[in-house]
Formats: sequence, C-alpha cells, structure tokens
Amino acid sequence: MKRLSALSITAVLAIAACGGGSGPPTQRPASVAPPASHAGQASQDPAATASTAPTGPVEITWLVGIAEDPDIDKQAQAQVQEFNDSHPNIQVKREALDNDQLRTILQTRIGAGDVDLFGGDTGPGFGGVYAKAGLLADLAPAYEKYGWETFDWAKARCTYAGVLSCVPGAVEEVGIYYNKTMFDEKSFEEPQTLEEFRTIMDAFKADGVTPLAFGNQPQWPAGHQFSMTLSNIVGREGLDEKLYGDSPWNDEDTVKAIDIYFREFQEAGYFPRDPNAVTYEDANALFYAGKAAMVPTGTWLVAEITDNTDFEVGFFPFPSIDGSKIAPPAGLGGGSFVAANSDNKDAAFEFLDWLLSDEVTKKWSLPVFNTIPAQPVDTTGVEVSPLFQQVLDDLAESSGETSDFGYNIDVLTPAGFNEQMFTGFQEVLNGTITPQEQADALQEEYQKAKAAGETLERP
Amino acid sequence: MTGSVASVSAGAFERITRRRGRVRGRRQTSWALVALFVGPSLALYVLFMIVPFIGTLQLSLSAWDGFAPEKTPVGLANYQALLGDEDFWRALSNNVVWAVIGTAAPIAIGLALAIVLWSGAGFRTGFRAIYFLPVILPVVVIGLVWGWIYNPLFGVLNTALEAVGLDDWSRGWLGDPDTALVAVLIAAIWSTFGFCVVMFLAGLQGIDLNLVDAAKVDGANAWQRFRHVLLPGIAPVFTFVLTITLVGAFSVFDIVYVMTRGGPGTATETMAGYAYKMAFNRNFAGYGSAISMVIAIISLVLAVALLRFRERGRTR
Repeated sequence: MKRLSALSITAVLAIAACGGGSGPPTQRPASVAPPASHAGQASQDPAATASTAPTGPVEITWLVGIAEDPDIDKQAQAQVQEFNDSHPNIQVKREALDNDQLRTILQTRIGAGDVDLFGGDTGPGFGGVYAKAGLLADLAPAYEKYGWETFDWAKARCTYAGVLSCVPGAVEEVGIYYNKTMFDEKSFEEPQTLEEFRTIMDAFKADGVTPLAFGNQPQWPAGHQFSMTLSNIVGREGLDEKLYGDSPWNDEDTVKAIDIYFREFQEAGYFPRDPNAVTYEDANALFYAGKAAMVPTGTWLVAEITDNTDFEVGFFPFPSIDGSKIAPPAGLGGGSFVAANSDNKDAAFEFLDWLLSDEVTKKWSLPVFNTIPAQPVDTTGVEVSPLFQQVLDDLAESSGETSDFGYNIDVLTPAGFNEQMFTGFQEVLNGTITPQEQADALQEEYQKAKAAGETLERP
Repeated sequence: MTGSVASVSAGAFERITRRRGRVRGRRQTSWALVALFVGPSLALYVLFMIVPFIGTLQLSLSAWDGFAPEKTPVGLANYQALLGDEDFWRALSNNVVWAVIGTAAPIAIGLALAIVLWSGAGFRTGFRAIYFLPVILPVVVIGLVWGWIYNPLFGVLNTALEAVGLDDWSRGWLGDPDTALVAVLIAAIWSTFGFCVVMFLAGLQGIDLNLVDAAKVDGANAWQRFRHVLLPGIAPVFTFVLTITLVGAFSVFDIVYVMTRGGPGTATETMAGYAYKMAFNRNFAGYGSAISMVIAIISLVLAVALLRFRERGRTR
C-alpha cells in the first residue's frame, strides 16, 4: 500500500474541479457510498454531529444503486451501521437496488413520502427531470449550515434552474486497465498514440489473448467507449459545443470517433467475439482470469479489480488519436438528493454531513470504496492500493489544464440521446448501421431533446 | 259466504305471505352468500385490475413525464404518434413472430408429449414433474441459465458445436440480430411447454376411453382418432392453453429484458419492453401507457375471439 499524499489528491481534485463533469451512466450503480471528504467547518467527529441530531429517533430511508461487487455493497451497509451506532437519534435504512429498478420505483416511492434520500445521476436525464418536477429539496441551506466545500464545478452539476439540489458523488474517470505482467512480458509501455495501441492489441491478438475485454450486452458500456474516443478527438471545448448545441453530433469528428472504436476495432478482432452478447461482468472476468490484456471501464471498478486480480494492474487513458490531446472522460459519478417532501430533511442533511466528514473519507471512501471526493480533502496517513494510487496519479498527470479532461457523455445528455447511443452502437458493432447513420441518429435525438428543453444550457 | 270467502282469502293471504317471506329470506340469504364469496375477490379485482386499467387509459390520453404533478391531456395524440413510430412497429412485428412460434411450438411439443404420457408411457408422474419444472422456475433464472448456454465465451452450445466440428456455426447467439430473437424464443418455449403438457394431459384424462375404442373398432387410424376423438375431447383445454400462450406472447417482457434488454439494437424489442423503455428510461409515461393499452386491446380481442370460436364449435 502506498501512502497517499494530501498534496497529490488535492491537486487531482482541484484539477478535476476545473475539467470534470461526468460519471458513469444511469445503468451503473451511481452512489454506493456518496461523496468523500471535506475539510470545512462541518463537525469532524461523528459523536459531535450526534449532538445536533433532531430530538427523538428519526428513521430516514436512503435508496441507492447496488454495488457491482457484493463485498463492496456489504461494506457500504457496514458504513451505514457505523452511523446508526453513533447516532441513536437518527437511523438510516439503506436500500440498495439495481439501478433500473431504482429508476422504476423511485418516483412512486417519493410520491408516497417513503424516501428521504436517494442517489442518481446529476444529468438532465435524471436529476434534471426530478428537479423540474419539484421533487428535490433545496440543499443550499445545508451547504451553508455545514460548510460543505464542494468544488464549484461539481456544485454546478447539481444546480438546476438556479437551485442547488444535490451533493456530488465521487470524481470518476474512464480509461483502460491493463495487465502489467502481460505488458512486461512483451516489453510494452502504456501506449501514447492510437498506432502504438493498435500494435499492442495486434500482438496480443496474435497470441490468442483477447486484447480489449469489451462487453456490451447491457448496452451502456458503449457510451463510455464513445466518450473516450470523442473526448480525445474534439477535446473538452469541442464536447461543450456539442452538449450546448453549438456543433452537430453528426460531423466528421463524431463519425471518426464512432468508426475507430465500433467498426475498426471490431473488425480488427480486438474485442471478445460478439461483444453485444458479452455482459459487463463477463468481460471483467476475462480480464481477471488473465484471458484479456486490457479492460476499458471507469475508476469506480478499482476496488473490485484490486480484489479480483492476482497480478499487477495498471491504468492509462485512451491514447492520442492522430495527434490529438489526451482528454480522458472524467467528472461526477452521480450525486445524492434529498426528497422535497421528506419530513426528515434535517436528519438527511446530518447524515450527508457525516458521510462528507474527513473521518469517514479516510476510513471508508478512499481506502475501502476507492472513491475520489469532489472537494478538497486532507488525506494524510490514508493508505490506498497501488492501482488506486496510479489512478490518482494519472488524473494528476493528465490534467495540467482544464481542457485536458473530457466528459462521460451519457451523464450529460438527455434520455432519448442515451437510448440511441446504447442501441445504435450495438447496431454499428453488428454492422447493421454505419457510423455515419449512428451519428445522424444521435443528432436527430439531440435536436428533439433540445426542442423539448431537455438539453444542457450554458451556465 | 262472504265470511267464508273472506276467511279463505285471509288464509290464502297468510300462506302466500309466509311463502313470500321464506322466498325473500332465501333471497336475502343467497345475496349475502354471493356478497360473502364474490365480494372479496371482486374488490381485489377492481382494486388491482380495473382501477389500474382505467388509470393507464387516462395516462395514455395525456402527456406526462412520470414526475410532474400535472398531466397534460392530449386526447389521442399518443395513439396517433404510435402509427408513425417505426420502433413500435418493429416491436409489434417481433411480437407477431413471438406469437406464431412462441404459441405453436410449446403447444405442439406439449400436446405430443401429453399424448405419449397418456398413452401409457412409464414413469408418467416423474416425466410430468420434469416437464413442469421449468414452469415453476423464476424467469430471471431461466434467462440467466440460457444466457450462459448461449454465452460466446464459455457457453455449452458453442462448445458442443465446436466439439463436433461445426465451428462456423458457433456465434454470440444473443448478440447477433439474425439469431437473437429465435434464441430468446427457444428459452421461452422451454419454459412454457411443460405447462402445456400438464394441461393437455389433464384434458386427455377426461376423455371417455370407450370413444377411442369405438373409433378403433370403426377402423379409425391414429391420426383420425386424434383429429376426431382426442382433439374435440380436449377442445376447451386447447382453447384455454392457446389463449394463455397467445396473450402471453403479446405481453412478453421479463425473459427478453433479462437476456437481451431488447438488443442487439432493437432486434428483440417487444411492445412491452418498448413501453417500459418509453415510460421509465425516456420519461414518456403517457406514451408508454398508450403502448400498454395497445397490448391490452390486442390481448382482449384475441381472448374474446378465441372464446367465441370455441363457443361456436360447441354449438355445432
């Protein structure tokens, strides 16, 4: 285990603050354990926070997406138990559900006054819809009361029509994990260019090893891969133009981003056979078993990868495409919302404050969940795995400027656009439609959403 | 005279009154019994079927994102939009394929196996239990198990094909748009045919064997005995099974969702899956409700048509 320096993590987070803006898709568990630390004015001692608890025992219901790794989910439950033990006046009932199920039942549960706190994406397809319907509590008073020092960029992602309505989750990045042992055996370095990347993948393929364990049966992973190639090709500014409607989604750059990953890589045989029939879990298992050299996914999987591999694992962002900058998709991995009709808002705020405390961050968020907070944190003495350290280093190295981060697109785009991404990329992989046709369909969906007022507006 | 008439009339009136009282009492008793036996189930039916049905109908006539407090009435706009929605028609066509194959196959397999068992095959109870086993398995389990069978990385189907030299046939069955729907259908048929076996076997056991013997004596061959004795004998059961499987084909959701989520692309999308996506993923709750109503109408029409067909057969 390496010791994580306070300086490095603060630098990473500050840089992420400037450049980030996204996270995993709605289909992925968005908030196993919400945000991490804060070094602000909030009460640092869990016992001390208990003293401000409302009088009488209060039970708050917290609905979150279930963790992919059952062990991590158990740890999240243990974290809640720790809060309950130290706060006899507030008892948190954590309900972890599959994210699809969560979306389906959430509105009904909220309508019945049965939910106080819940996790979800902060983008227009989730948080924006709830905010528009008036279902989210205004958290500005809580921010002020507890002094949460969330980065401004992250708060902006939680602000709908001028109302600060959520507490940002962890900062996450999408990139490529690789088997260092396999790389060392072939004397490969982390690729800096697409050509180098192809050379590496060709070599593994020739050895009968799956180069890139990409499983797209659940459809949403394709959105991440698209985010990687498009972020590199057009950079953050280019993505901003598309997200705000100043540039089309069916231009040459977008088609190129789709073509490289979903047609060229597929035809070259870099993926497992028939990736549309391979689940996300099976693809990851290929990597864990040493049958695949690399797996493309996000930093939310660090803890699971650490637990499941017996070889050294490295992480690099998608390499430069034809001389482009490297702009790995990064940003928020969801957020925590308080229901507007909750009778226990104060208790929910207090629980959030506990989750954001330095103690909880040092004990749970960083070492157990490997989540990166969306606010400054003093991490002195925190031990993390080598892989998590490398993720942090990678974020730090690649983020000297604000423009060095791209976006995980599906968090920032409306539901119809995402649906087209998910189904359309499967069809491109199958050869049913061309990259140009998929780009045209994305543009059409974006235009529909823009006309309906469902797209992002420039801050 | 008048007095006797009066007394007779009074006596008759008394008897009539007593009789009417008894009749009324019986009627009161029978209405109370009706209320007692029918009331609870009727209340549950109204609460969980009629009320949601009316609610869905109302929603289908409105534009609602599933979250906003107000629902905007739009008349038949959602239904009009369906007419021009290519994805909906694609989903409907998948349902039609499902209805044809997913109804015919389990009925044919189920009927054949039921006849074999009824004809005196050994271990009838054991086979009946084995055939029925998939029916009691949760659909999620069935979907996962068949997903493993079809898995392109470690699935037994591809392994078996490769073992016998049919490498070219192996593929990602659920990821190929040409095979995905059939692959899911096979899993669904596997989960359904046991129900057909048990139902047909129950129907066959109600047939008078003397009729079969008489047909044999009259020189009827196996097909003729099946066509003119067995089939009419199980007609009510046949109609019931046909109705259940056909209606189920137009509302299928769970096994598709577990195995492919409607993919690859929209290759296995069904109306129910499309309704779900529209209502919950894209937040078009009104539109999703309209699709649900279409499913309900198709199911209703099919069920009524089949029942009337059966009734007509009876009167003949």
